[in-house]
Amino acid sequence: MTIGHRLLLLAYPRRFRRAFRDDLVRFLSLQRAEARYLAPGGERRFWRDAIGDAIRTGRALRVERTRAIASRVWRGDPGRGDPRFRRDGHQPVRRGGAEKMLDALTRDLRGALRGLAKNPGYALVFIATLGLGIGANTAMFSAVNGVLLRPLPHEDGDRLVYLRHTARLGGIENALFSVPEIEDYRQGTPSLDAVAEFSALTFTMLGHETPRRVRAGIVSGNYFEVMGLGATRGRVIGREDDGAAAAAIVVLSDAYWRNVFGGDPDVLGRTVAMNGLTATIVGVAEPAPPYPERTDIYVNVATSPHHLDAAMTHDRIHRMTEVFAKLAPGAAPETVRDEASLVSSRIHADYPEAYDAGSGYEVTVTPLKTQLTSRARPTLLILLATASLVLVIACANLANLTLTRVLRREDELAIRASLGAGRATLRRSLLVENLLLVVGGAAVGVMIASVGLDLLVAFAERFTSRAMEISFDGSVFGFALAAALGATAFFTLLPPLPDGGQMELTRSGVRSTGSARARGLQRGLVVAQIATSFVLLIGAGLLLRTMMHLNEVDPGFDTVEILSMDVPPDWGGTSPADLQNRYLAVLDEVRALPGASNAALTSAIPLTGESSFTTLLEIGVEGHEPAPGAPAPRADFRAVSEAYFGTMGIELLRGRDFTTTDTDEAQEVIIINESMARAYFGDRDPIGRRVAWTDATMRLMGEGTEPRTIVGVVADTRDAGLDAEVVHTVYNPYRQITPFYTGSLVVRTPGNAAGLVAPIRDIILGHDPDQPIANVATIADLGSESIAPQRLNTILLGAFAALALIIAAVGIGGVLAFSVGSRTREFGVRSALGAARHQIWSGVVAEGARLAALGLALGTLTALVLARFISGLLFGVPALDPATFLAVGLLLTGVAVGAAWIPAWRAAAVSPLEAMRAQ
Amino acid sequence: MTDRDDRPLTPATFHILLSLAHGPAHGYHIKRMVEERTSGRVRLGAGTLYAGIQRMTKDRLIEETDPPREGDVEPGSRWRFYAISAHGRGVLEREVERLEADLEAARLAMASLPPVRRHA
Repeated sequence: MTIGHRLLLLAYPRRFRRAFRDDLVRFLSLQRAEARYLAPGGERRFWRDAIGDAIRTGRALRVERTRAIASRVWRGDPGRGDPRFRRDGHQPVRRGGAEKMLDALTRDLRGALRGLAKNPGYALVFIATLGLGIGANTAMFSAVNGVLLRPLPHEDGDRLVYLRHTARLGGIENALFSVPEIEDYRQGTPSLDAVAEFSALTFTMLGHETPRRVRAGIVSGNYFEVMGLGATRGRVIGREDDGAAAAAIVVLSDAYWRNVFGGDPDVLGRTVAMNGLTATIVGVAEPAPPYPERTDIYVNVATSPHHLDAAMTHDRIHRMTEVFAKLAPGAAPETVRDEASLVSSRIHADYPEAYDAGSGYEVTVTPLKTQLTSRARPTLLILLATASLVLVIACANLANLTLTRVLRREDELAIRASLGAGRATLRRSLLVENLLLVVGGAAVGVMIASVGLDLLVAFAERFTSRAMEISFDGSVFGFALAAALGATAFFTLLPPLPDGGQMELTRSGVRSTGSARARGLQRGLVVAQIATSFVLLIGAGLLLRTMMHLNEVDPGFDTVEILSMDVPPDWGGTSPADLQNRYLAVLDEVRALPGASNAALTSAIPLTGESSFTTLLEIGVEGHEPAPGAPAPRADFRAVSEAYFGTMGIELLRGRDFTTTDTDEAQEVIIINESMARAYFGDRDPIGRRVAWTDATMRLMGEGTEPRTIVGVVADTRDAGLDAEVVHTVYNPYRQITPFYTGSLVVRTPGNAAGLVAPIRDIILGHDPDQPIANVATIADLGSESIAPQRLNTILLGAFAALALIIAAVGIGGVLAFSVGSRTREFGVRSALGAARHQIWSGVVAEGARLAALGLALGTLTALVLARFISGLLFGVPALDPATFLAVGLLLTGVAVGAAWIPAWRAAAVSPLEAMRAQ
Repeated sequence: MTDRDDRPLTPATFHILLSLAHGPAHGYHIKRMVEERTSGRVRLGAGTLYAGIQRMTKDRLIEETDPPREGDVEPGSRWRFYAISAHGRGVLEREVERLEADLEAARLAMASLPPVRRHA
């Protein structure tokens, strides 16, 4: 085929070209060959004729087709060509009810698409607004569903309970259980089917790549049975693995197997070394949310020599164990609580030395699911409520858009109504249009939700270990769909429609009496939007103030230029003296590094939430007798080397710092913090007074209970986090304490902190190649990390509130713009009658301000009621903070007036001439 | 039957039907037959011919048919062949009758005309 032929074919409509392409080409080449052969100049004549023919026929075919479509549409006749040639006399078939409905629907669908295509801005705003609303809600509902609603992955998970031993009066949130206590409670609670033990320790694991710190759960043989968890590979720990005679075995958690062992299928049977023992990996546990902390591996008791010694198994105050239990079928946690409290009273009477009466020891029984999600619940519910408020605002705005659109099309609808279209027909065409938009919005929403979900999982991980169970599932999609359908019905039934009977003809054309009601409705919706935005902005404002407070908190130490890392001691093998010497040697070498201006050892890095002991320890303060019935005095135990305070920038208020001469041979000394000094000594000088560690735990750890002399007072620090309370703290010199707690290094690096990581690592590994190094971070990073949940709350709620504000501004602006547009004549007449521009302008702005004022009043009332729900997330700011209310009120008023500005300006610019033309 | 049925066929339709009265043929064959029959007075271009074929197929005057095994076609070609339908035959017959009637009427009318004077 030559190019000429091809060009010729282009003259025909596509359908025709496709049908006859081959024959046309053959025809043309034959015709051309013939013409060339027959006469000179035949080639030219051929082209002239062929081009003329192609253009003529092409045009004729197109005209014919257009006519056929037009007549079919006009007559509602499917058409079968020229009726003259109809042999069988095709008659339009009479259609059944279903077909008729389908027909009408298709017509409505086409009409809706045409109408929306004419108004793409409306369609876009509608779909984007609804998409954001539905997306935010779907994502939030996914999170709530995954964390709060879905049953636990454990078999019979709803029967699992978590027992906690607390002494709240003594400031002990979680005192843990000792083995004799567990035995007592096990005996005394017939409503419990089985009781399992779990104690968390961090081990150094050798034998897989580099030395690693692993969080191990030392579990009783019935742990997996009670928890209703199996193995995905190999086996779990069973009853036969209990006792000292059993072989040391390891079950990997699913996450640890995937992340550290790369999901290696051949992991079973491999051995690792821990605590100077060799343990065999026997299985991978079924994935389940860990509690009370992230658990990398589960080991049997034989893996932890400490768990087998007499102190552990017989000492009533040797509390190291968490207790999980399974309710007997039909039993309630409340029954167990009552049974446990009977046991408590008995053992408190039998062993008064183990239960200080003032501290209020008791056992709480909580369903595991509640316990796993208790921290996440308030945050998630507040965010879900926030998201649904955004959806409410979005829907109000969409309702407004729909109303405006109906009002704009009033004439068209009125004419259709007077031509006999019933309200049902008009509603149906509205329904189809809205359905299209809502389906579009839902699709956009699902896309937004699936993107937002990953972010939300990362967010929820900070509050609950169930975050890993958040997924985008069918019920969530159902939620989105239900929301979408509800919205459709809402938008369809909301706008009042004209009716044939309500028509009245005015001079300017057709007007329906429905519009007055519609306009009232519009204003009501705007007021509702402003009120809802106000509530959301209050929430965001309060969180923002919380963040500002947190950022202003003085932690008591410097945060910049300090590098910190965990260098955990090994619990097996090395003697305390060797260990201490090794740490001191490392410290000396680090101090000698160029770039390190100072360095120190500490038992716990600030802001990590870690401490040497899980609770505050009992102390005896010389000259201070606790009142009868009052909880025993307690303080946080810290062991630090000399120069710790200098390195961290903690101010020494009185006395002296620790020195290298504060050794075992010298007098035993301590430094206390300011709060503690004030609490026990008031204005008197604490230097030279004495404090003893009286807590039984210290005795077990081999520390003496003899009084130690206070040699200094340092400023308060917020070691547990920027939003945490300051606790009484006793610092002990590193050289006078068994080095097992002293696993962390802080280094002051005036220059580049990152550059020092490698040299420090080399120094440490030079002393012990099996030494793991973990959690390398600057104190500034840790500070930022410690308030990350609040920051995320603020960002999320702030984003929702900003969204609401934008939607509300669009709502106010849109309604006023429409109102101005339909009153062009009025403004023109008024300006013709001598009204000044600013009078017209201020009239419109005042209209916006009136709506805003109503919305603000309503919003303030609502916020006053709702604010207390957010108080749990706040820090340093009351839920009814007047400054926040005032600032948000001003902001919203500003936005409302700003949104009224443009329509007002347009109204003022109307000239009388323009007004006449608007007729 | 409506009044539209009495309209005369277009020349293209008429000649295509006439050509196919002899038997099935392909597009170029039809064109050649028409030119021969009319001594080149009626020339069908490719577009005109195939637009006619399309319309006539839709109106069921003609139908596509299998190519003959052998005979007057170039070997190896894959032309589409068309044949007149029974309906088409009827329409053609009516058209011929109409033409005959028109011709008869025309002849009668011509006969009553006064003779034409020729000027030198």
